[in-house]
Amino acid sequence: MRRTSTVVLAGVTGVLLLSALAAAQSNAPRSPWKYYPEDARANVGPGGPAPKRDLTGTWAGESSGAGVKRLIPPERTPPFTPLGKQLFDRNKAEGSGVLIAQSNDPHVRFCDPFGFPRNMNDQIRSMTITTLPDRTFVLLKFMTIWREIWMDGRALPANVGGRGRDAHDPTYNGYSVGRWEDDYTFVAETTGMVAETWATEGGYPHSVDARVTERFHRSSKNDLSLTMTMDDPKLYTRPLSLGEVHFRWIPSQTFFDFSCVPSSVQMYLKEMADPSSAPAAAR
Amino acid sequence: MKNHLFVAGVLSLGMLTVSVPAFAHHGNAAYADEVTEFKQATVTKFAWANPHALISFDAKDAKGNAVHMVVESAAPQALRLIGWDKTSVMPGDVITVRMYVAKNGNPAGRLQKIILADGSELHDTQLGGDEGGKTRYDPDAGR
Repeated sequence: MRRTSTVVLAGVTGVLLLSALAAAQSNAPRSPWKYYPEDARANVGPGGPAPKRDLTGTWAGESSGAGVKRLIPPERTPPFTPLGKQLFDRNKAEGSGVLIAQSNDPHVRFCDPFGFPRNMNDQIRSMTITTLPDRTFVLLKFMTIWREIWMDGRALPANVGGRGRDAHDPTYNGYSVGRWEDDYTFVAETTGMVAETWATEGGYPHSVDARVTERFHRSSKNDLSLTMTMDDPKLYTRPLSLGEVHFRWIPSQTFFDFSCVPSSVQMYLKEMADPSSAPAAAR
Repeated sequence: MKNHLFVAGVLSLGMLTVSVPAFAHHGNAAYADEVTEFKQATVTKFAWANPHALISFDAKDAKGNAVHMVVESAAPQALRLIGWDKTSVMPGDVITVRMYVAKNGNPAGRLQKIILADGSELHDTQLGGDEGGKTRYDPDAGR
């Protein structure tokens, strides 16, 4: 029985592999300007060892058509402080009984920037990582946004959002520094994010003093994972896991454009979302 | 062994059943649970735009009354992954629209799929499954 099952399993796997490869080779010629998700799906396996201290390249995330799944979602029951709970209750995230018409998600309603760390755990369909001698850049395809992670040994700013001429203004992506923990793990620390942004799609709040730790781990040529933890004692009683996302190397290094356009969102809300989710009495 | 396979199958089905809502986003709860079909629907506008593509069309309801509807599908980038493009439908095209209409009675809804004049079909990602009951078409394609 076990042998039969093994043979059947091997057969099914083989068929799936061949189908994927066949799909990847069909429809030639191909444009180098287009993204072909079937190529990413056909690029199975590790592809070889991870290069040392190198994350550079273009990566496919979840909902990219490349078969990449989110590994771990953000914690479902955050350990809020009373202030954290108060702020969370103000945020009406879509879902769980909240329709678009009732949501106050600044991105859903106005295309406002996600800000960090939400832009690393929501709509993370593709990113490119590149470097300069003193910095690592994370280029996010969604909204065409880039983050700057300094590696010149500087410390994070101590006074962000406070009073005085020496204070630093909060920014949507915050202030980031990074270092290699080992040859395959890059750790970034970020603080000073605009407090009005949400940390997650679910409306988790953060303060300007929140400190987010990202651990990028490249386990093979084709595999990159990112775990995120947020330490924000004002709003959470302990560090909060923002989950783990996974990425796969894109063979063509090309991905499609993807942005939220304010005028398009206003049309969508006016013609579709608000009418469909408004109370029946409002007709 | 057979018992183990049976138990594994039941568990797998259970996981599928409970995992489907986790994929649901963007107004799923606003729509009816059953599909409504509009045949001979004339497209008046196709907005290939974020956050979701919209098809506006004129058709007749089950009672023969003329209606103007708007139906949303996924983001263009997600639709591209399952065969759509910017010119999949054009104003003037006559198609069949299968959709989950808004529970509040407003002339809007979420697409299950459209059937083009040549008989080919284009599905939604989020609710485009042929099993009905708001099943997904391609969980990897996004919303």
